[in-house]
Amino acid sequence: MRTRFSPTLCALAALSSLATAQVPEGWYVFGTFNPSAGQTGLFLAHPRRPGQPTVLANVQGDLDGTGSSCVLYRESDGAILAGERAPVGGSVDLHMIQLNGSAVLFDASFSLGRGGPCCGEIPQMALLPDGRVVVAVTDVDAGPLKNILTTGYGWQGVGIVDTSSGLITPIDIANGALLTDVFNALALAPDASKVYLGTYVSGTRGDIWEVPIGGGMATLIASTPAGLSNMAFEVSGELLVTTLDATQPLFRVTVSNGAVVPVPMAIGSLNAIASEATTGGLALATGTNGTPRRSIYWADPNANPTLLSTPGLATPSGIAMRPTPREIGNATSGNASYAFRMPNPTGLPNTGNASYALILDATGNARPGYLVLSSAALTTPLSVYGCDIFVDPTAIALIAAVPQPPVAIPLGIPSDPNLVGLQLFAQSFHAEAPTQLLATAALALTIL
Amino acid sequence: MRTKSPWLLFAAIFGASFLCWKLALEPHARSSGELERAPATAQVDVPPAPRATAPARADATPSAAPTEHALPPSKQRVRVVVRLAADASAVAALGAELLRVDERGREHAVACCNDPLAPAPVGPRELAELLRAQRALPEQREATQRFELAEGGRYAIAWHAWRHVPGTLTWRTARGAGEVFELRSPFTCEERTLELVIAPEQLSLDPALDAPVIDAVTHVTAKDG
Repeated sequence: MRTRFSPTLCALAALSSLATAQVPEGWYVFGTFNPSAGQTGLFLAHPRRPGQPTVLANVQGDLDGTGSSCVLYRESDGAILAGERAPVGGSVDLHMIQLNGSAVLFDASFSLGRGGPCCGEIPQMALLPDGRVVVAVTDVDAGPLKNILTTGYGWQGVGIVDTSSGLITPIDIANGALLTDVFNALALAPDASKVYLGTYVSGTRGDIWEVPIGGGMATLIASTPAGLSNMAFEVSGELLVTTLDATQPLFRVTVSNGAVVPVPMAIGSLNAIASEATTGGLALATGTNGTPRRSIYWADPNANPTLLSTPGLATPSGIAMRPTPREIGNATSGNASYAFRMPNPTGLPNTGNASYALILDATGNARPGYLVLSSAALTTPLSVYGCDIFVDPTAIALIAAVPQPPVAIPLGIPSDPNLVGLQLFAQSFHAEAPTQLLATAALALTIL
Repeated sequence: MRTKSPWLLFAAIFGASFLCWKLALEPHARSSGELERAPATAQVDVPPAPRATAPARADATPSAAPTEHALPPSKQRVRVVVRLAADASAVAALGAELLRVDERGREHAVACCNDPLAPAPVGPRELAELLRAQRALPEQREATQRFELAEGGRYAIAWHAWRHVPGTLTWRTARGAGEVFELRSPFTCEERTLELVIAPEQLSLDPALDAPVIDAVTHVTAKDG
């Protein structure tokens, strides 16, 4: 079975709105700092199509001065969260940004402390499931996160910022004095129970410390032969850490036993990394000693990198992705349950990805069924024989029979720029009994 | 035939809709497009004032004295009211909080069934919603929040609000807390009311912290990539 996009879908593309108010689905957002090296600020990049990034206009505060040191994308409200590299004596701010197209619509910011004489910044941050933000802050000479004295980078600390109220709760590290030198990376365990802090001790050493999310003793779980610059958990649960050593820029760390394995990658020093939750791939930014320097890459799940741009900006120091596809609604399960595989090994739904497919998995007594593609989704599901239908039956683009899962449903996407921005909603239905339908959750995907 | 009945209904729903749509050749409203639409901007300038130096004052007086019961309730209902002083300018999205203060003096937000500050399971408040709410209620001088406390201990009333930095697209969070007080069990059946008055100077912006630094001094170190 092979399904290709029909003229109907191409017509739908013309109807769909290409303008997006936030980070376009599937795109990268990254930040740069160090104005002596080039333009600082925030930028958007297509995750697969090489080209010059889009500059976000009207960035606020110090983001277009001293620059941005880290970024996140928060799906729940579409906000870009950007950490500052602060001026000497300036406030170290966390920005919560909403866009109108490619310009900042408004920016709500929080002061996490006053920057010291060296290099006040938020080196990296992570999202808790409820949307609060776990942050590391370095070189602060005041504020609730001035907790641990480093040897050469002032005071630093770790905490949780509630962006609803502005409440900053320190994560106390009982043996903080044992930590050698400066936080330069942070990642949150997939179950959100622990924070991992990566340090830059020197050019030839970095440490990874594990701290309970509620505070307590820090445990040194691993060291690397190069100073750390960024960290990200893979979908598999392994921790990827980047370094500023051009000859060994990437390591895979098993946090349960501290095993450190170099990951071959010949693009020089790395200064930012994010895991693509929907593909298992990586978003990467090289540092000053990168090849080429200060460039944006994507990498497949085997860490094979592809250059997207060398934009000539200041130093990229944080990168994040707005994921696509995303699940909406809920599955209806019975003696079997059905789900679209995530991460999807066929990659992103970008034009020209002729091998793109939805992979349908099942557990239990799986049966064949039907895949429905619609151009709209229902906010309130339609209930039919106990099954929640989230795809809009008044906007159907395609219905296709699917064999018994597991099965790949090919949706090869032609290189037609008219398809870019088309949003589709997929849901698969399976009869379990004469009066019982089962279904996957719906999947919202935007063609990139 | 019975085994096909779900598919018949399924086919009827989707088939009929699909055919109608194809025949009519009529584009339908797309929920996706509506979701992507940018919210309208709404801003209110708040005149800057001197930065606060004094701590918030807590008027944490219980509104009702404990009453005697054979079996005191397991939870204490508390109503927290934060109110701007008469000479303070209005703010955006004023919110009342109750903080639990642990033995080391750290503050933790107390969750409540309908409290947008609850760490879980309620999600983060959307800034867009905040601005929509502000547009509808431009003048906000008082906020109330109810809590149910399962244990006695040290608590503090707190508040938060947004302030607009004039001439920018930036909103800064303003927050403060009153004095720490002890809430003792046994609990009472009556709801206790705790009040806090926010002085004008506590709402002021600090030019050194809340505005960007022009011609900023910045350094680059070995760890910076």
